[in-house]
Amino acid sequence: MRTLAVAFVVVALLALGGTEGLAQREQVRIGISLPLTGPASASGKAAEAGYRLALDEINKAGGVLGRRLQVFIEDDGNLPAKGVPIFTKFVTVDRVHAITGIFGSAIGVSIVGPAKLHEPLIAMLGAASPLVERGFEGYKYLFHYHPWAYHNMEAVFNFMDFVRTGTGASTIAILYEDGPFGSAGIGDTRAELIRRGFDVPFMESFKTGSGDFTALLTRAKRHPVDVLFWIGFDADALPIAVQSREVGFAPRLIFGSPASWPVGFEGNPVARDVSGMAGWTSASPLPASKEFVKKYQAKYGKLSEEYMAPMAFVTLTTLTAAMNKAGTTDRDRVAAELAKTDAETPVGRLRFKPSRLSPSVHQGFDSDLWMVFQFRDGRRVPVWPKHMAAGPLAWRWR
Amino acid sequence: MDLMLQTLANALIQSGTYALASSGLALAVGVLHIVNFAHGEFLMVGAFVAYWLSVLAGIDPIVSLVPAGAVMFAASGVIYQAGIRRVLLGPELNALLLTFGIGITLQNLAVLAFGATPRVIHTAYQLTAVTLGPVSVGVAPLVTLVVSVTLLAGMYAVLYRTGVGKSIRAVAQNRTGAHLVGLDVDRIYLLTFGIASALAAIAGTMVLVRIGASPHMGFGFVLKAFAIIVMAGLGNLTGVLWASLVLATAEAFVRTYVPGGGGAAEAVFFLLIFFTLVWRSWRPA
Amino acid sequence: MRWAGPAALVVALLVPLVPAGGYQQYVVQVTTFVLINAAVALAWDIQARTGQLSLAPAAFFGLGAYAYTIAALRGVPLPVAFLLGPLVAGAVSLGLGVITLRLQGLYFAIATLAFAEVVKVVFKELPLDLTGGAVGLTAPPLLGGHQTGLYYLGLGVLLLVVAASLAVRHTRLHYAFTATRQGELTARVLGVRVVATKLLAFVLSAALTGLVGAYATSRLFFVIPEDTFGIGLSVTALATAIFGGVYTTAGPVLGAIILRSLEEGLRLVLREGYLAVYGVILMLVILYLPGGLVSLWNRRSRDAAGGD
Repeated sequence: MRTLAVAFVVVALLALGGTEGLAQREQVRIGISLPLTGPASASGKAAEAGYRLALDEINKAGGVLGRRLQVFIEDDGNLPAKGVPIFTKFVTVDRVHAITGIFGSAIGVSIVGPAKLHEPLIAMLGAASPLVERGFEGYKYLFHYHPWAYHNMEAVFNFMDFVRTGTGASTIAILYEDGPFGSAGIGDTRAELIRRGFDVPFMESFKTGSGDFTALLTRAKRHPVDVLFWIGFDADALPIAVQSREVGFAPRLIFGSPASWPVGFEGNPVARDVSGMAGWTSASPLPASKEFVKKYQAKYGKLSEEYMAPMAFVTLTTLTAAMNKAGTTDRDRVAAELAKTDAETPVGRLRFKPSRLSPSVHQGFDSDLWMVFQFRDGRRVPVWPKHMAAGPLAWRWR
Repeated sequence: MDLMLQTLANALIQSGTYALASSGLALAVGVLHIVNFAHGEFLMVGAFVAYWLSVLAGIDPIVSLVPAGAVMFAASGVIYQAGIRRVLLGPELNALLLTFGIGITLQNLAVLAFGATPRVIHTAYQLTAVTLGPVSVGVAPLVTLVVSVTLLAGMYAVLYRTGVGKSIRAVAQNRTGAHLVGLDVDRIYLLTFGIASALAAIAGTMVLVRIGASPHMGFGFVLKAFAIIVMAGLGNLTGVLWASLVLATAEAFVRTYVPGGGGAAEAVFFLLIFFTLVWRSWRPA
Repeated sequence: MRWAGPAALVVALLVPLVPAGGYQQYVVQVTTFVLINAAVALAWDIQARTGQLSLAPAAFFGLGAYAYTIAALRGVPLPVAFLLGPLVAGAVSLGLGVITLRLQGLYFAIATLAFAEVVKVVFKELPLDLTGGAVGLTAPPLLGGHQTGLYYLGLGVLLLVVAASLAVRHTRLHYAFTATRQGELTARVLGVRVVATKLLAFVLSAALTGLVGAYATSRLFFVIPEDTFGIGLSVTALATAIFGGVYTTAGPVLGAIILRSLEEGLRLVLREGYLAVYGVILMLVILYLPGGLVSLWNRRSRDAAGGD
C-alpha cells in the first residue's frame, strides 16, 4: 500500500515537474528587432508600444498554443551592424519560432544573408526599399506587411488624381530629400505623374534637417504651382511651411509625406491645411481602429498618431493567430495559415498576395493603407480616400 | 534680376545663421585651441531651453536667448572645471575625445528626457515676411541676422577694446607667455569657454524658431561650423562673417540656378572650403 | 605584457571553434564587427603617428566598399574585386595626400573632412546605373557569405593592419613618423624626408582602410552613400584609437574590443539610456587615463614615442 502511495506521489510529482518543464521548453518565442534608439526611435518606440499591447491581449486570451507567448524585444538602432547580430541571436541563441519588427530597409537588406542560412519565419513590419524585396527573391517564409515604396507612390498618384478631379489642379512641384527615402524611384515618380497628365516643372533634392529651403522655394516660385509635394522627414515640416511664406511662394496645397510630424506642429498656425500622408490616424472611422484606440488609451493613458503602433499590433496578432490555427510552430504550416489571412485590422483590410517583384514573398498591405489628412484646428482631419474622410479637402492654401 | 536679388537676400539671411552658429566655436578653438565636438549639443541645449520657456511660460525666443545663454554659460563652467581643464595640458586628441563624449552624453540625455521627435514652437512673427521691392525675407531669419551681427560686433569690441579682451587675445596667442606676465590663464579659459558656449546656445534659440528643436540637431551645425571657422582662418573672428557669407552665397546660387543643384549645394560648400584651404596652403608664405 | 599579443591572437583564432552552443554565431558576428572597427581605428592610428588628424577614413572605407561592389556587380572575379578596394583607396589618397601636404592640424582635418563629404555627395548624385545613387547597391559577399570563413578573412585583414602597424613601429620608420609628428621643421633639419613620410603614412592608412571597406561589404551586403561614407565612421575610428591609446598597436585594437563590448553590454542591461552612459565612460577614461587604456599596462615602461 505504501509503495503504491509513494509510487503515486512520485508519478504525480514527475508529471507536475514534467509538464512544467514541458511548458517552459515549448513556450512560443518570437524575436522583435526595432530601432529603439537613434533617429528612427520615434517609429521604433511606437511599434514597441503596439507589440506590447498585442502581447498583453494575446496572453490574456490564452497565449499561443496554450502557453504564454514570450517575446524578445531588441534595439537595432536601425543599423545593420547591430541588426545582423541580433537577427542571428534570435535564431541561434533564443531559438525563436518567428521574427518580426525590422523597420529600416538597410537592416532588411543585410539580414538577407543570415535569413537564407536559417530560413526562419519572418513577419516584417517595415522596410519599403525594393532592394529588400529583390534580396528576398525565392524566400518562402517572408510575410512583408508594410507597403513597398512603389505602393506608397501609387497612393500619392491616386491622391493627386483625386485633387485634380476636385480642383482642376495640374502643376506639381516636387522637393525630395537626397537620401534613400526621398530618392528611391523619384525619376519614375515624376514620369508617372507626367503620364497621368500632370505638369512637373520643378523637382529638386535637399538635405534633410538642414533647414534652409529659401533658395529652392524661391526657384519654385517662378512657376505657377498648384501643389507642392515634398518627401522628407519630420525636421523638414516646419522650415518648408514657414519659408514658403517667407519667400512668398504660395502653392494651393502643400502635401508632405514624412513618416511622422514634429511635436507641436498641429497647434501651429503655419500648419493650417498642410496635408500629409499617413498609414493611419487615431481619428480613423474604421471599427477595428476605434477598438484599438480604446485599448491603447486604456493601457498607455494617451493617444498616438504613429501608424507603426497599430501596424505592429496587427503583425503580432495575425502571426500568433496563424500559429494557433495551425496548431503548431512548424514554419510551413504556420506560413500556410498566415497566407490565408483575411482580417479587418485597425489600418485596413489585410490579405496577403504574391509580392510584385518577388512572387515567393507574401505581400500584405499595399497602396490602400495610405490616407491623406490635413491639419485643421490643431487636429489631423482625414480627407482622402472617401470612405475614411471626415471633412473636405481644403484648397487654396495661403 | 529679381531672382538674383532674392537669391542674394536668401544668402545674406542664411549666412546670419551660419555665422551665429560658428562664432562660439571660433572663440573656443581660437583661444583654448580645443576641438569642441560638443558645440552642436550646446546649441541644442539652448534650443531646448528656449523651447520649454516658450511652451511653459509663453516667452518669446528672442527674449529667451538671454536665459538660454546664461544656462549654457553656467553649465559650461561646470564642464570646464570637471573636465576640460584637465585635458588642456595634454595631447590635443584627448580634448577631442572628451568633447566627443560630452556631446554624446548630452545628446542622449536629451533623447531620454524629451524623446527623439523634433519639436516646434509658434511665434507671432514666424509667418511674417518683409518685402522690399522684389525681395521678400522672413522676419525671423532677419532677426537672426541682426542678432548675429550684433553679437559678433560685440565680441569684436570686447576682444579689441577692453582689458579682458586683451588678456584673452594674449592667452590665445601664447599661454605660457601670458602666464608669465601674470595673467590667470585658467580663469580666462573658463570665461572664454563660457562665452563660446553661451553663443552656441543663443544660436540654438534662433534655430528653434525656423526649424525646431531636436536632440540630434547639433550634428549638422557643428560640421559646417568647423568648416566655416577653418575657412575664415583660426583666430580670425571677422573672417567668420565673411566665410559664412561666401559659403551661404555659393549654396544659394547653386540651389537657385543650377538644375539639380539642391543636392549639389552641399558638395559645393565643402569643395569651396577644400579649395580655399589648399590654395592658401600653397601660397608662398 | 609581451605575451598579450600572441595570446589575443590565439583567442581570436579560436572564437569560432569555442563550443558556445547557440551563442556561437552571434558571438562570431559581433566579433567580426569588432574586427572591422579595430582595423579601421588602427589604420587611422598609423597615419596619426605623423601628426596628421585625418577625418577621411570614411571616404577611403567607402571607396574600397564601392570599388569592390561595382566591380563585383560587373562580373569581376570576387578576389580581384576585393583587391580593387585598397588599390582605388590608395590611389585616391595619394592624390589627396599630395594636395594637402602643406596643411596641418585642424586645417588638415577639415580639408579631409570636406573631401569626405564631397565624395559622399558625388556618390549620391552619380547616375543610378553607375553607383546606385542615394538608394545604394547590394553587394555579393565574399566566400559565398560563409560565416566562419568570413570571420577568418576579417581576422586576416586585421592581422595585416597589425603587421603594418608593427612594421612602422619597429623599423626606422618609427623615428621618421615620430619626428614628423613632434615638429616638421626640426625633423627636416634632422634629415627626415618629411614629405615622403607623410605620404607613406597617408597612403598606407588609406589603402588598409579601403581593404577593410571592401571586406565589410560582405558583412553588410549593402553600400549606400549616407552610411558607407558617413562621418560617424571616421569619428568612431579616432575615438576608438584615442580611447585605447594612440600611437600604439594594441591601443586601437583594445579600444575597439572594449568599446564595442561595452556598447553591447550596456544595451542589454540598460536598454534606453545606454548611450548616455557610454558617453560618460568615454569622458571618464580620457580624464583619468590620458594615455588611453593601454597606459594601464605601460605605466612602467617609458617609451620614447609613447604619447606626447
